[in-house]
Amino acid sequence: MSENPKTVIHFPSFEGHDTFGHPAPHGWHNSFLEADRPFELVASGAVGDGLRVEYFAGTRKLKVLKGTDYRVMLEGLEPGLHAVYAVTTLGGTTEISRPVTVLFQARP
Amino acid sequence: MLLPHKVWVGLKVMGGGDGKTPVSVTFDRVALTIEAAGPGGETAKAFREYHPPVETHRLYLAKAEAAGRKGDDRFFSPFLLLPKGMKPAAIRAILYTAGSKEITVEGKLFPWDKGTGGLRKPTAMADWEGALDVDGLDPSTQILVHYGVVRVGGYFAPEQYAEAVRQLARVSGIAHLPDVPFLVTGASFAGGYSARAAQLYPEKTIAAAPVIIGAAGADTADAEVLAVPHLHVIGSRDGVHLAQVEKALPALREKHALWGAAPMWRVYHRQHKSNALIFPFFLEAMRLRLPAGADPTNGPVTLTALKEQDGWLGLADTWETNAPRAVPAREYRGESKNVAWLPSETVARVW
Repeated sequence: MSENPKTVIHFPSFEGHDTFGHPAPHGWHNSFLEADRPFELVASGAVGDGLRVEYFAGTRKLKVLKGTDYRVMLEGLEPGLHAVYAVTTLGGTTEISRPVTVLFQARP
Repeated sequence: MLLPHKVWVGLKVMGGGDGKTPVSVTFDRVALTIEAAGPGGETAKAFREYHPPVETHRLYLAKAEAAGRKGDDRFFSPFLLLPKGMKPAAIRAILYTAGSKEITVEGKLFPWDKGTGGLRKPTAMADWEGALDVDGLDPSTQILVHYGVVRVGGYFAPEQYAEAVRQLARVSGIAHLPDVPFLVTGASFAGGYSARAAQLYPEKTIAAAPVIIGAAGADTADAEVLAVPHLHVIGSRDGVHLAQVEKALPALREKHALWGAAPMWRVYHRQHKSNALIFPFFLEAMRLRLPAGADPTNGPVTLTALKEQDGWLGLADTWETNAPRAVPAREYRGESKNVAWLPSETVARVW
């Protein structure tokens, strides 16, 4: 088990109810972005020399960061549902964040 | 940056101690600053959550009759929900939410009246059959809209599904509805319904995702059912369900089932965030199993059969770590049969 802080991608995402069968709370918005428009992602996790942070959408690698900065601007994705997640590697230990599924919608 | 409404901040101390004996640490001078002005300038210009209102949908309700039953409890009411302006020929698949009538409007459950047996009708409807417009559906409905998926549900057992879509075809005027293949999911007892639906209609089931109901259906020996992609999602703290799945995985591999599973860690009997995996799983199943140019208006769609070797295997022996692993099935040389079959690399990554 890694001793690094857990890799987490920060993005609005409903964490689920503590009761069974309830709907999403009023005013809650799932993860939606406009398609084909730059957007920002931030994750958190391991910190240290040699840190490598990779952002993915499904099997597609969106960006690789080397250093300690987790913040990144990404090109817009095409319309559709994309599972976005971060992978961090430090000192030979790799961790994967939970994915967030984001629907990218085209503006009419 | 845009953050969830609730944020956890982790603090970690590096060094100190002998690595064995617990060390007491106190954080006594920690200050966090919230930018009152909100997101920074760069973000404000570039990052906008975008969720236009869901277009008006049309809900069709049919009064159907269960075969072989007598008395008032033989009736049930399936519903069909689709965008009002959707052309019937554009329907690619049905999302069959077995045993469920939940629809969320403006963040609240859509109100239904209960009748005898399986009869349910929207409170706003006067009759037990008909149609009405629905506005204010949950934004996640846009996922279905985008991929040409319409929803069929209602309080009825999967044995009645064929009759349900026949009656919905009559009420909606969408004659080819019974020939549209379906994705099926449900939670708890409705999860069992979704596994049962795949058993009853394997030729129509694109994929099944039974939620919080162990390895429902895993005792089948029917090769046609085992070839329908399944994904069981369970809560790790939900009684026996995870143990049932762990027991079933090796047996499913022995049967070459195209079935997989995924736990939601530290989750009890809740759906929690199961859709975060189920939807990518369903969409990949549609991509792989719906033939190019499939057109149910010309008759039943013949689903493409998937090959075990073309899928991926999620290594359940790693799924409790922070870096679960999955490998292409054709490259797997491990001896452990604690593996979950997944239809594609995309699903494997999300898994």
